[in-house]
Amino acid sequence: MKIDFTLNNKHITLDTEPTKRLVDAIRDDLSLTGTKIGCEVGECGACTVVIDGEAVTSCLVLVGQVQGKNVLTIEGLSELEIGRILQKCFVENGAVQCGFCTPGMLMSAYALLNKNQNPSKEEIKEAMSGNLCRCTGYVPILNSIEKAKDELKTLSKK
Amino acid sequence: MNNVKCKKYFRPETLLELKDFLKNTSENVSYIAGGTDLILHAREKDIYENNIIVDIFNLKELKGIKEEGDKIVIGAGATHTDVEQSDIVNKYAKVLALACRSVGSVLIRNHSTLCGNICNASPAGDSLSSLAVLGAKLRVLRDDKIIELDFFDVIDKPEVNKLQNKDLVVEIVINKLDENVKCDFFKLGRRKALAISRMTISTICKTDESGNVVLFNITCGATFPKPMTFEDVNNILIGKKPSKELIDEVAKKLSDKIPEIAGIRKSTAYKQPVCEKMVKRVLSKMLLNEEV
Amino acid sequence: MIDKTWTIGHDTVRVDAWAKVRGEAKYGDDLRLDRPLFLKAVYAEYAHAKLIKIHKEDALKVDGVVGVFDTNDVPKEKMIGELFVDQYVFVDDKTRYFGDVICVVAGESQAIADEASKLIKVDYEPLPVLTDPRTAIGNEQVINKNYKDNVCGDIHAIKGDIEEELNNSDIIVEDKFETDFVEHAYIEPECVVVEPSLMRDELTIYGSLQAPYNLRISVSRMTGIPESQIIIKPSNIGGSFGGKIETAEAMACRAAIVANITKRNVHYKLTREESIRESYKRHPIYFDMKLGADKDGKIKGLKVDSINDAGAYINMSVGVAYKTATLGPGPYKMNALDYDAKAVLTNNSHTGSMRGFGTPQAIFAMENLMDELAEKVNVSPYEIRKRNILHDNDITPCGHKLDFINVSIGECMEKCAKEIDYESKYKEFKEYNKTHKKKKGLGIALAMRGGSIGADGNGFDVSRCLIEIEPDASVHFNIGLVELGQGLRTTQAMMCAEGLGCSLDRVTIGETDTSRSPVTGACIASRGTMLGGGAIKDACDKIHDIIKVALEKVNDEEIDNIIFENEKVTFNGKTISFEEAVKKCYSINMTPMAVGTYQVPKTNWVPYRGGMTGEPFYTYTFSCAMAEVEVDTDTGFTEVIKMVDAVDMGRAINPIMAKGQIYGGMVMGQGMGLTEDLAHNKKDGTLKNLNFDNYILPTFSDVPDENVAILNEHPDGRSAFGGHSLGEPGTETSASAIACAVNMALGKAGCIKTLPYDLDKVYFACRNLEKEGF
Repeated sequence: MKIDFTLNNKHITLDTEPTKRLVDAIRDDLSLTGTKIGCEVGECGACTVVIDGEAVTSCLVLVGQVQGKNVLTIEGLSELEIGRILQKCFVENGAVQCGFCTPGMLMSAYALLNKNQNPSKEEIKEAMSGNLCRCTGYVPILNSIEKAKDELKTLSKK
Repeated sequence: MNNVKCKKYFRPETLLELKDFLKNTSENVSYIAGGTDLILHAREKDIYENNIIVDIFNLKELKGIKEEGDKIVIGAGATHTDVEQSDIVNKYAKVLALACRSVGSVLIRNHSTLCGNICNASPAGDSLSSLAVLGAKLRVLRDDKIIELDFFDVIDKPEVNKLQNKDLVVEIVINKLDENVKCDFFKLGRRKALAISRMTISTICKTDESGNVVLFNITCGATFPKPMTFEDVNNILIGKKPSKELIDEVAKKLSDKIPEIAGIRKSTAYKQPVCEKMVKRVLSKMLLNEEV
Repeated sequence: MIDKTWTIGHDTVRVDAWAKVRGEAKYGDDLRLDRPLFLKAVYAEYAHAKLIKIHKEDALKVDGVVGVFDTNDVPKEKMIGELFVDQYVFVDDKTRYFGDVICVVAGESQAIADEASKLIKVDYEPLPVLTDPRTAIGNEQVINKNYKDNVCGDIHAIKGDIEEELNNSDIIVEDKFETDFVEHAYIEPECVVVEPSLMRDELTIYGSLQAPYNLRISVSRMTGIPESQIIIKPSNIGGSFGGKIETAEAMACRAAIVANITKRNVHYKLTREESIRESYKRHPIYFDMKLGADKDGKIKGLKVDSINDAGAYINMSVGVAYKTATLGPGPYKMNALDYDAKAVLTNNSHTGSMRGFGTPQAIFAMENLMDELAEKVNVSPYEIRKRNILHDNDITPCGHKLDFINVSIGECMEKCAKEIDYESKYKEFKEYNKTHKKKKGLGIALAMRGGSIGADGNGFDVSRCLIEIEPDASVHFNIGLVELGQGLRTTQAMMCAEGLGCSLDRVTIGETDTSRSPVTGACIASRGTMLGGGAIKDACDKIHDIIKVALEKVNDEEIDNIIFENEKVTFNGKTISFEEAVKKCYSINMTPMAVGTYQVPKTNWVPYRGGMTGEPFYTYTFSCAMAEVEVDTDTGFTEVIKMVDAVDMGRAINPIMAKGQIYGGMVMGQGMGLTEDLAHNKKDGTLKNLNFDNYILPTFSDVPDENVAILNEHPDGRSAFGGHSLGEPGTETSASAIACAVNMALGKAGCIKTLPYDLDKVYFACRNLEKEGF
């Protein structure tokens, strides 16, 4: 079945089984391996992508369901200003260790800041709580998102 | 994981197209909305192999949350996030908004639907106790007609609903609560996010000018095989002025339902007394403004 | 050792950070080799059963199935193991735990292999299952015939005369504690990829491989291929915490066997359920403790009998017992110690290295016991520790005189107490708890951690590296210690730059590749900084000597003293640039390249009264964690309000990553302390919680954003760049600090004696205390 959708700002037509999971289509059919598989039951968030502005676990979405939608993966993040700022803040503030949860963390953080440029600490924690990390203890990730938030504020004032 | 095995995947573009399809098929139909449960089930076992998977997530007619006079109507395609953030729900059925907010994580809430939570009938479904106290009704497309079923009648037992093949829940209907009704939703889990409920408690209550309770409905979730409310529990408070004694009585009566209905299980020794304590805590705060 | 530093000690961006935030860093499952075969394992249906027959026919008929491989396909040695070779990669005579692999199906796609694996039927003859190490000792069922009583290790640390000290004590505190299995829960499930060479009998193995040189030995033993033709190139690794050694190694051996037979590339990954089912765990340990003290609470002697559950294979259980016995007594002064640590085989999941390696459990037991002592003496937990901690020149519980290191445990404690405001909160909470159902608690846990393997590894605790300066003065540096996420490659590159006296920009640290880096022990035992640093220093010194000789020849002068520092080379009153010095070296065709080797000096660990005594380690890390919690006594729910952890890691090579180790360690301890439970079935040895829906890790929402990591640095003269262990100290104390805090909130020291402190356990403890009148 042909599925038309926008992936990282480019329109594509993918000919694949519609009941394949989105994460498998992204990793296997499209060879974009930045989206990771950690648990396959929607608990770890390593496979997080953003669909029409909302962060979701792509292990619990069928690729047929993204027909006509706008899908963003970690590979498309660098092309977006919020994405670049988040990446820089993650790099500079110790948010990256093993890096396996990192793409998912960034996608959740992107979806949050894209909707709400001034989230409170509690709002950040709630938005990020579907992404598990075993290395960082979360605090450096929280700090990185707060830094990104501040940079965005400075930018919007200019 | 392998693809979800099914006879066919069908994604209608309009409700009309879906109705046409249903008229002309005698196959077993499994609906997929957000997909967060269907994919999990398929991963465990190939249970949809002989079914047609009908994807209703993007049907515009089933999206959105609207008002119909004194009712709130929630489309089958509405996600937990939609419900949690809906102004209408927050205004007229706050307990449901709170319950939806406690589901899994933002990532799950963004793609899982309230309707899916009902149809999957998991006793641990976070929203179910809130829908129970709200007395939700379901509008179901059956044989090309819309019928209205009672939410309690649709969920049969754990993981099993009483819908017939091809039945599609299109909308959830809730009577609006007036804005003075107090709502509380309590969830007990092992962690603060991504938690499977050990127990939920949903409460709605209203008092008149003289302080008498005129509306009261309380129940717990993740404790009974299916959603239930209890007249004898609610009647303890209705028509009376709340007091510590009455609250204790409610707490005792509701928590005693756990072994009565679910039988004595390994978890009962924990759940029954905790239920009693939490009901006291919730009601004391809500009605007496006291922390216990 | 260096006093002024140019690179180390400064916050530095990780060498792999940008690739990771762009999603470009490749992990095992991200590799896309040409037309690989995919493997799927068939697991044991019984934890203990004779294997009668494997019915492969139906699976072999499936289109796209290339073969089903079992123990008969292993050409040479059928077992692996780092210290004890006893783990079958395929079940041979019998299953030993429910994660044992009977066979693997190789198919042209993962779906084909998965489907075909369901068609394999296996005949078994079930045997009695041993799930409790206490009753496994001397049981008639024997799991490994080389250990008739099922006891596979027994470490006994002794100092002084324990009976005499206990007899002369004013106060005796006795108690028993238990801990449970803990899953590493790296977010990346294991994956290995094998690529056979078509030029010769050579295999290149990629994937989540923590210990490449050990793996190389195993594959060589199994296939008969020489070690030089087994090339291990670990991919980026999505977390390990000690967990990607034996499991990944068994997988790599299976995949190597299939690749070697089929001459096809092989891709072999685990699902999360398979990962939890098959992988080894943190040891459950049972403690029986007796402590004697004088009336002021000063410890006189400690006697402990402990039993760790080794599970089906010995794995690291004896090494774990070593660390339990030698480090379990903590950083406390005592006249006598008698600490016995046994390792016992059962039919449970085997247990091996996990961050902490036998100490988080022992610290949990010891720190609770210390709180019980405090209660008896009627002083605060802080005060009882202050009275007992080690100071400079004191002798450790095992008998090691600490005259070579800053014994900074007191300082760590003070810094934590200040940060968390211990004194005033302690009093405030005691009052507060009298009238509230949500009760507050503070907990303290102290630790001293031996650097690297210790005397247990006397003689083989070695590391090596290769540093090569190119003609343009760029530096290529290879070391076999693997990046697991902790930031090791960045710290190693920083030490290399510091050691060479050049800027970090010049240094390229290659990905680990056993064909490029000389043999090095594994990246285990928090040894990377000290062991890697030693090898780097040695290589740098050798390169400096080469450059010195070259400069002598080029300049025709003798050089007494030459200093390489911050891009400058200074000798005989002259200063030239680093680049010029390198160019001069190449101008006469001398090669500034060297292999560095470092071996931890042997320590004096000697037999004594039927056990061992003396110097169990070469050096130590001291650390203190404090936790503040609030316990809802009506539900048993514990909320961690704040954690503070001060660690003296000698020198923090890259401070921002050093803090990262501590932040992460604290939260790993929080999980162990409160929620992580695999639901081990004591009847059949299975685990029920095989995924993250029921195996409960702390989420973003569960972790206090007020957590504080304190670097309490005192550069260690026994380490080339002053840094010693950090990874394990970061995590070994926090579960205990939380446990002690919960017990304070409940109002009774040592009240809950088993980990984790989950809802039900805390709830029922509260009810029992009510009955007792608390």
